[in-house]
Amino acid sequence: MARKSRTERDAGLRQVSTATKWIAGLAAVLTGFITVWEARNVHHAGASTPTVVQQPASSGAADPGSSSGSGYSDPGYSDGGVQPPVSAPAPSDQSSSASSGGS
Amino acid sequence: MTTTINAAETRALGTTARIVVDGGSSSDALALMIPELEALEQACSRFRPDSDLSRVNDGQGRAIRVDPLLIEAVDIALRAARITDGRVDPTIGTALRWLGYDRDFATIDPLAPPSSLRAARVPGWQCVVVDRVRSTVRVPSGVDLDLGATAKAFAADRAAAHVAAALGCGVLISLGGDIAIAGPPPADGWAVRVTDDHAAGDSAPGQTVALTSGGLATSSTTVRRWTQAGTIRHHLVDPATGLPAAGPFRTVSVTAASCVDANIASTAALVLGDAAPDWLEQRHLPSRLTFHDGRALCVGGWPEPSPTP
Repeated sequence: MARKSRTERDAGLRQVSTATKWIAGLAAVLTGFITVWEARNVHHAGASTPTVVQQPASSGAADPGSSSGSGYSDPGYSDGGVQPPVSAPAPSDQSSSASSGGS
Repeated sequence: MTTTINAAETRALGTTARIVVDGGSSSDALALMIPELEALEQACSRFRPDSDLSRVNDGQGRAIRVDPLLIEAVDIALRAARITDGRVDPTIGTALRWLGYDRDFATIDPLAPPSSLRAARVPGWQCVVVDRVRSTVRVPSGVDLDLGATAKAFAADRAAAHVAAALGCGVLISLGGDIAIAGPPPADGWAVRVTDDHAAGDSAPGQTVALTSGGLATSSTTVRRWTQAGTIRHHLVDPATGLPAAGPFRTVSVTAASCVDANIASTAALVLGDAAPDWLEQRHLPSRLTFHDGRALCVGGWPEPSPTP
């Protein structure tokens, strides 16, 4: 009788131990989820404020290859204003490669 | 130095797309350019009902999720508005529609029967909401965005950089006369004819100049013209009035660090009218302004035309 009682007690303790481990594991996972959710929530709250997004100074295309998959760098567009060319055009008497006009 | 110039041409973005390479294969260059232009058209066309821009314009004031390429193009258009104090404004789409420019220009009858006249000051670029994190764009109901002043130039810059990087040679791309240059230029630079109409050819009145970097754009009131209720219209709208810009110049050509900046400046100059030469000079932008009577004014270091013998 006493032997059966001890066996039942040990089995119960094992069940309690297993349940405790599961609870601890779930708590850890839940804590991680909550942390990530909170971080995203705060980030989105700031980003969704209805303001026009300002292009950072001297930033170029954020991800030029995002649509077509190409990985090149394209010219940066300065937020400081329209940027002049490195050098002014020179007179030319060659036959032209292209025409610039209204379209 | 040996220079081998090869060129190829196609139609894209409702206009002529020309690619010229120095030392590379023009067919390879064309094959690299076309997907770039198609991606931009799919994102930014006002006349394709399935484009991301059309979905934004039809969004009834809701935030619409779009391709990052449109986010980028709208950012560039908003930058243009900001740095020109609203003279180049992407919210002119509704004004253009009221003026009769409501479909691909090739399908507009320039002598269509009179329709009603409507015009209004544009709503203004400040009403555009861009959310980069969610990749959405929102405009108020009834507001149409039009990226015509910047998207084609953006496409030219983007495609030129892409092709030059891929082929490792000098590249010039002209999209309806919006010219972007990337990679090493030919020894004497890229010769470009500046005229009222990019399709007019070398014999048209104008001037040929050599470029080595950046971009060149020309805005002109002599093309994309149509008649509305007996009044001649063109596509360059003054955001302050919602009507076609009316100044002393018919055509303005500008060179800048990029094709986008050149196009922003040439469009702003036509809207500015009399104030344009000082505005361009203050920004050190070499420019050629053509009066309605054909006289040319060169500012900012643009070379004076050779005297006619």
